[in-house]
Amino acid sequence: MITISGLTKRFGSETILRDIEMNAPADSILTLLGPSGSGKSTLLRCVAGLETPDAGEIRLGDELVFSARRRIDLPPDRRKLGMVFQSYAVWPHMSVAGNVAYPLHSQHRPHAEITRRVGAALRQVGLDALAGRGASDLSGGQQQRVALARAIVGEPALLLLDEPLSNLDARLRAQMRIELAGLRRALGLTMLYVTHDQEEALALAHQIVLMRDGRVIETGAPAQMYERPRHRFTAEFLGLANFLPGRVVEQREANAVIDTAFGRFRARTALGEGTLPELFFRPHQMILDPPDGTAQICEAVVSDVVFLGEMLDVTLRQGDQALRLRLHPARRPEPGQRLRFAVPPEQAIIFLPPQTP
Amino acid sequence: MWLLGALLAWLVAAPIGMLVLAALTADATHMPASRAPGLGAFARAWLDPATWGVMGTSLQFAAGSCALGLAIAALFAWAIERTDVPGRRLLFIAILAPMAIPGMIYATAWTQLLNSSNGLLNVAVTRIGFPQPRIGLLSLGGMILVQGLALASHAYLLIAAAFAAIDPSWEEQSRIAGRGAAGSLWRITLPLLRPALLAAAIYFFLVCIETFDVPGMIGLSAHIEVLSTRIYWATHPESGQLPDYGVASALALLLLLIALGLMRLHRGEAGRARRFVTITARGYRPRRVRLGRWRWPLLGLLCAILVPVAVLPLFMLVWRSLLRFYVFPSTAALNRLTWFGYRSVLGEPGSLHMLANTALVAGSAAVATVGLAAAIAFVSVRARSGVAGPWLRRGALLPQAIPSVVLGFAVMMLYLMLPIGIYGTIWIIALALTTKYLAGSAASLIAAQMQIAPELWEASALSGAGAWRTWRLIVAPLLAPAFANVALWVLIHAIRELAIAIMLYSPASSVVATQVWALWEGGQMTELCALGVLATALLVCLLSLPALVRLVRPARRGSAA
Repeated sequence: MITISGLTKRFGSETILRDIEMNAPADSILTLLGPSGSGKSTLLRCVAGLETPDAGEIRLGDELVFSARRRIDLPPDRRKLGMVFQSYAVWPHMSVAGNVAYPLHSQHRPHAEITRRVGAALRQVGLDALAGRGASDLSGGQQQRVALARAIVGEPALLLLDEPLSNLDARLRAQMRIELAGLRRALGLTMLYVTHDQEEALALAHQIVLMRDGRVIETGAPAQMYERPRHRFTAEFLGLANFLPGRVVEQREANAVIDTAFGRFRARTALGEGTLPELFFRPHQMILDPPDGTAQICEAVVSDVVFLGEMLDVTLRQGDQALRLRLHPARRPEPGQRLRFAVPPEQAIIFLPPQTP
Repeated sequence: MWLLGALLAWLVAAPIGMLVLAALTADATHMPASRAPGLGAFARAWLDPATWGVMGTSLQFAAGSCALGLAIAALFAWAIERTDVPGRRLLFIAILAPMAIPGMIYATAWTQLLNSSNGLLNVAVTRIGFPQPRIGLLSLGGMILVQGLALASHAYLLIAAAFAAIDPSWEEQSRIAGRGAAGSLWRITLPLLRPALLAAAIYFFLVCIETFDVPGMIGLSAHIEVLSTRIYWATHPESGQLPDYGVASALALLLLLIALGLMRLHRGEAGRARRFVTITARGYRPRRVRLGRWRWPLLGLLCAILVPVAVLPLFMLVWRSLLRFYVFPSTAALNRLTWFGYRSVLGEPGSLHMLANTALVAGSAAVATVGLAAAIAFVSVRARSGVAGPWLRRGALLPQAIPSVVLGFAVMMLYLMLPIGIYGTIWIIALALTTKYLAGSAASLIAAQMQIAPELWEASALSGAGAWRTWRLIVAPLLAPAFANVALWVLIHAIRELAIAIMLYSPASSVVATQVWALWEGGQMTELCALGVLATALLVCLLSLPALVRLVRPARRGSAA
């Protein structure tokens, strides 16, 4: 649905986007994820036609909407897409229905059709009771729904969302996330979704594009990115991560045996003896009280326990190294207690430090 | 607090009461309060068909100049605030430059540009080969043109903020929804700006209804009267006749009522405008409309508009001030240039006296206004108890709606009747100016004071300081920049103000504004333009003072003002 190649955008002397390659299949949600300043919103605005890139190409479906080389730059009003802004951009001088009808008016649809489709779009977002209300008297959550109805009423094939949930409170955010996914399935839309919230990205996306400093760091499905990241930044950014520096002491069959502060681990990889890698695994990949006979069982002292309601956040400490894990609250380890755990070799990931000359 | 109330009553209520009294009791042969009250003056003033003719002219004049001024201002505000037109900083300075030219001087410059016998533009047009154009400046159209052009920079200052406050994502959303750039401007940007533009339109309509400068100077020669000049001429009849203060008061009350009504309308619209401004809490980067190949044509258009707004009047003023008799600008004319005008303006024995008067009047008005406004702001913001605070505030804001001519006239009658002995001195002018600018000063000092967090006072009170000590040690230092700005604002306006001064001056209390009026009546163009250049130069210095101070001493505090 969206194909981007070689996209570069500069503001003055600052390069915001560098040589972006991206491909979003139709009928799916692609999430642009990254810390603030990573260029994800700028990329979205380039797709919308609100910014003009300096190089590269953007194709929406079969249509080439931007090409620096061929001097094609379709204005936003001719790209046939919907967009939800972070600030919602609900026009305060119009009613709710007036806001939603606007895209249809600009397509010069007949009056009866506009009424019907506005009603349908408002029903879809659960706002049909407020159609006649002035837009400036709405709450944040309601404005968000107006913006959403307005974005889908023209039945675009592509919907762009720029941090649409970031101004809502936590409860409403979780609810809207589910509604958004349902709406997308019902309409068969493609969504390009910008967020800095990794939880939102994991929950919504079919595919995540992780960005930093104007570059794409890694692209992949949420589960794969979460559990088997190829870059340390991905591992770090997507959620609670345990990193342990270590030293390869031997290669046993398919596994490398690595010595760390917490004891020995195995990882499914081939590394020369004496290499100094960094071992990575997620808290949920740690198996507590492994059955006897498991290769490489570690033992560590509990240093802190934080009660989080549905789980406990536990920190294990050994020297200046720490590991975090999540426990069921039924189990109440005391600080000072020793815990035994193991990490299956196929779930432990190795990051090699950058080559130092 | 009661002292303040009494002061306000003296400054504001007494003149208005005087108007009512005069309207009820005075006529051509009776001074106010010298006979039994009656409604005769109202009948003579309000039922006279001539009054309605004047009223119609007033409305046409105000509507026309308001439309012209706002159209120019809106175009500049949009271009400077919302597009990527080149040279925005210079355009900003250029559109504001005419503010330094007092209205009466601006009008003078235009009489030289467009008078039907040898006006520069008329002559230029005939030289190119067109027939002599028939539109002279001495017509209602001419008055509208000059007032509209003079208004543009003031209107720009008022509406630019509204253009800057438009959230760009509102426009972007419209583009995404399938409207082109022009369609989005028409359907989204302009409707969003409508309350702000309407509020500005009402405000400047009021300004045009009450203004005296352009109708006084051009209208005098063109024999066209508007309401404000009608009031003046009713009090200054041709020699041999006696002024009818009853009719003048009734007319003044009519103008006052119109002004109060417009002010009310303006408040309502301004409130609506604030509701629209930036609903988003998040900061946004101001994004500008990319004009592409229209950048340079737009710049060309703006520069073309600046020619009549700023370039021509300024050039004409300087050129005429250096010539004893007008000649069309040419290199041959250069050797006729003379300092005669400046020498006679500055060299005359009375002129030093006049300049000293001006400085004294404007300076004392500025000091008195700021002092009074600061006291009102302090009391009305702090006084949570009682009803006096809001009343005080309302009373202080009322003079904003009193037209200068009306105020000048009312103050004149008041001190004609009261034996205080300031009639005919410069102090009566200073007093009227203080009343006139009290409203604007109080409004801006109240706003500044509201920005001081209440904890700052409370902390001072808890540390054992009384109200006066808190004001002196906490509030006044924080508000010092605001005080300075307001004082400067009063100073500038007091120098420009013509209507109040000509109502109240006597030969002994002549100031720059009245001197301009006298030179105009006497037809002494060279001296008039020279004085105009000097006054403009002085105002340029005063207007750029804040920028200079900021340059020398960078802002220390982010808060207040």
